[in-house]
Amino acid sequence: MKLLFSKQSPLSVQLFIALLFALVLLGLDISYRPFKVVRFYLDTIISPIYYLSNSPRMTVDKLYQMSKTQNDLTVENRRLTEELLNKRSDLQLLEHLRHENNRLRELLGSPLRHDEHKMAAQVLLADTDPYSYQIVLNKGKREGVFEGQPVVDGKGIVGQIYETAQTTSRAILICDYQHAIPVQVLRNDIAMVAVGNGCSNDLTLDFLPNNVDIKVGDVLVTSGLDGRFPEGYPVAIVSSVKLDINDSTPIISATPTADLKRLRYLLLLWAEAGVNEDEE
Amino acid sequence: MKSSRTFIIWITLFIGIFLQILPWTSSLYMLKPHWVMLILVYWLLALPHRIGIGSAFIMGIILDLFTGTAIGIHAFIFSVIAYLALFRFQLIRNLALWQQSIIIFLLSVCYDLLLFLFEMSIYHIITMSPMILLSSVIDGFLWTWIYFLLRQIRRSFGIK
Repeated sequence: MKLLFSKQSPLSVQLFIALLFALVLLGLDISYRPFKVVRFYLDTIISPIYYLSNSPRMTVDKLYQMSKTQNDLTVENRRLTEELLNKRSDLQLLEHLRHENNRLRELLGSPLRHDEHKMAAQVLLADTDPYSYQIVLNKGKREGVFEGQPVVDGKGIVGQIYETAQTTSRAILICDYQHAIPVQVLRNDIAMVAVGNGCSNDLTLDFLPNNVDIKVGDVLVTSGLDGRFPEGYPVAIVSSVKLDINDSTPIISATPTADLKRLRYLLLLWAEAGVNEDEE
Repeated sequence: MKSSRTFIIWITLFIGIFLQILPWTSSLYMLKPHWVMLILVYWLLALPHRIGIGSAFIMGIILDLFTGTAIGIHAFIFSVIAYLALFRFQLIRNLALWQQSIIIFLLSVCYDLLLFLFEMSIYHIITMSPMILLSSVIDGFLWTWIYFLLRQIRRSFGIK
């Protein structure tokens, strides 16, 4: 390569070779699976820089924490304790309901639901490319993150892991053009697929049954049919239902419940089985 | 000593990558300039015997890793831009600064169009807002600043 790019070879030859290399790499990266390993190592090499690029924000956060007065902290503490108490009482009820649900499922002979294992992760980087909506998280293969793993925040599904490196991983958001997620209407369990449409637009619903019963304000939750996303997490709320004038098919769009524009701390989910596999 | 000076060039390029990946609010996203391209083009014009198509190619690969695009897209684009800049570098160097800005604007448009073509052919996305031209305009304006700043750096470190 040193010889090829030496000063003697004419510019057009250099360009030709560079373009050829670029296209070969592009082809490898897109369609040759084993190349993922190379990408994994390259991503691992550059991942410290993500932490570095995140440091200005971390410092601002820290300064903000330091600037809080004791009064603020006591107020916040009281509020959080109250909230915790509320959530705890909710949880007690939920525990009861879960037992009941499990008993009923046993009676019906349907598989039991399992708890997921969760881990908090921080967003290191967002908005890098105008055409794809991806984020970089500070947990990687070392923590057991795997491709296709669901990522959620406090309000709903955010996306799934797309690429992993040793200490960081890259997730694709549900609003990305390439992303689709199977959902069902909470009210009547009609299954459909929510397809991303760019983060400045709502999700579009696809694969609808002919006579669909859906209203503005309906909550869409994951259906779990893909085997990736666990069942029952909120994804989006239906924002508009229109009819196509030409062939009278419904055009339905839905706003994601998660705040995809302001992501900071997220949760990674492991189904019970996945964790066991990792431990073995 | 000689190698340490070339090192400065790479440091400025890495600062460019840093600026490129820093998060911007999505409302102002369309105004985000192409930092790496601006810095790269400066060094291509100023020291074409040090920074050539090969270096542009490597920077492209690194940027691909950071932005999560398929490896090779930015490498391809940067190689083309490097070629366009080097093809008549003596002519561009002798132009007035505002004329250089226009050239930078055109290179930036070329960057955006190529990027769009690649993304479209890989992901089959068909939306493109003409707003991305705004970032090219910003590139053109920023060029003046980048030019003086990097010339200062080049002279004070004596990179030849």
